[in-house]
Amino acid sequence: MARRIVTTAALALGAVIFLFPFYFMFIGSFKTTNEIFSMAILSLPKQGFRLTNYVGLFVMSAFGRSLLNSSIVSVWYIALILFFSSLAGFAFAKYRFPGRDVLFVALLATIMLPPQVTYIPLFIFMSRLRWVSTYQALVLPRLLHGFGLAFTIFLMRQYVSYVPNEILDSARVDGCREFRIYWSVVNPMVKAGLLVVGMIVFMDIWNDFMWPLIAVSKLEMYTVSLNIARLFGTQREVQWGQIMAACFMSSLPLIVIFLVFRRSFVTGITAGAFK
Amino acid sequence: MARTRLTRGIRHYRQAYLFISPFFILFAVFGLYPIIYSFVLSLHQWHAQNPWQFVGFKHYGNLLFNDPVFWTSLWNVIFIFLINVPPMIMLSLIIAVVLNNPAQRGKDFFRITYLLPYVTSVVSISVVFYVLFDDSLGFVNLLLQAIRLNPVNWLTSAKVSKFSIDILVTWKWTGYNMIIALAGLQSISPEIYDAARIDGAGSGRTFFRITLPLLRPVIGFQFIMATIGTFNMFTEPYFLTDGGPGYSSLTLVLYLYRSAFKFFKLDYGAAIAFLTFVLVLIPSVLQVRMWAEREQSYSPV
Repeated sequence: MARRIVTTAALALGAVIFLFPFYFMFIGSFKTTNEIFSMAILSLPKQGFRLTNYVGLFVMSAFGRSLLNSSIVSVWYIALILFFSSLAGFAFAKYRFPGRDVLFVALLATIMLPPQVTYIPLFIFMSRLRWVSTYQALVLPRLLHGFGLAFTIFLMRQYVSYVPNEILDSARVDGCREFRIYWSVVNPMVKAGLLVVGMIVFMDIWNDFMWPLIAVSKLEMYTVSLNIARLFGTQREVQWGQIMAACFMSSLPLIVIFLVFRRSFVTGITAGAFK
Repeated sequence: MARTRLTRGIRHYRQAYLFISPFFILFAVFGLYPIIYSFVLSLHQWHAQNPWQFVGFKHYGNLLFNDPVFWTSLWNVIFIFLINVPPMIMLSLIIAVVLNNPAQRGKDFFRITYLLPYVTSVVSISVVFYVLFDDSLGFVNLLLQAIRLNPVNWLTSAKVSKFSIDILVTWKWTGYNMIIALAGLQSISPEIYDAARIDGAGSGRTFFRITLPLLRPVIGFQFIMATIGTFNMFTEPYFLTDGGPGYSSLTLVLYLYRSAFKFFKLDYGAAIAFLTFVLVLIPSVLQVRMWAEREQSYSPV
């Protein structure tokens, strides 16, 4: 009994440590720099929950534009990943074609490439193509990195492999074309997989920092992460309250989506570990 | 009849190649070509305007024999790996074992809470830790002083900076490792534990004699992911310490970024990138081999 109390107390202490930075950015977003750098951070804001920092962020720091940019990039990225990964996953799971297994191992092997090996040449290409500070520069090269296409194809292939072949065959007998089978038969049956993939790649692209740092130079094209880095970099006149507000807003979509779909999320991140 | 089936089969092949082609085209353009380009670049003296000049392995020679900063950043990465990864994985295993106990109170709440840091934006959290670790007025030092301990120069002492990064990484990644470990624990059959209990094994003995050996593949996976993550670390030191003070927390990727995009030594940066690539190749090969082996264990179609 005593032992159970001790472990629960230890777990609770852990929870406090894991949650404190979130509390800090939330409460800090309503405070002044002086309050943030003092024990006053623990208490409620003196002036109440005033939105001064949030207003400042949107009015003076083009934060609305950054939120829009991050959202546009995320939507494009997720849409492309979902489409390409389920299509390729379908092909790898349900067709026998020469070289299939070799191509699949080759695909897995591309996961080994650390993205930063490609960043310098990609930066040169982007400048030549005049793609610096464009959405396509933020989206297209990133399709290969992190939980990019290779990993998501790997994942979708598993989901598609559970779709019974009989269903596909009967659709073929009905005269369905292959793409049609993919679109109207397979996709509805692997919705769970699409949700998993969508979540983990959203986290990946929303959090991305190093590639945008290289690929974007114009303020109008800054993502949320870049804008936070910019505010952080102007340290002399830093408005720490505004930065906390920016950090909080940047974390919020991820936290909400995680809390709503946590089961799918956990499936996604444990999928690579083993079966 | 046989003929129609054959043509249909070939048409299906073509469809299949078409369906998998987006990945391979994208990879050729944004993966393979840049990597080759990067290697070629690392063998040249790069000029923005003039043509490149072939210099062979000069940049690699400089990195390995004339550049103490490179060695420092490599050492930093190894040091951070050593102080961070084994304790963090151990911690995650212990938490997982505790939370795997059906009788544990609030286990769902704790699982969610512990995983939350992994989900959050790295940039935001690095910025928050920067504020928390401020020398004179950061919360951590104020708290230490409140309980009459000496404040620590978390970000401005060359001895401490790597530990500060370690704390941030542990905070962020313990939950992820816990979830991986939990998934592994759930695949262990409960009968094994029942048998151990009947044999009178205590919980410590059970942990070391049964849980750890059975989790070996899982722990292997955690180590591989953590190795790759540590070698590719960039954002955390970028915000927390900017590699400093001095070069005390400079990581390989941060050094690459500085060389290429701050000092515009693209050729030198490419050489750093390639050396890093070779270094992470070993854990990465292990990771892919694990996945490929798993693939053989079940066959589609």
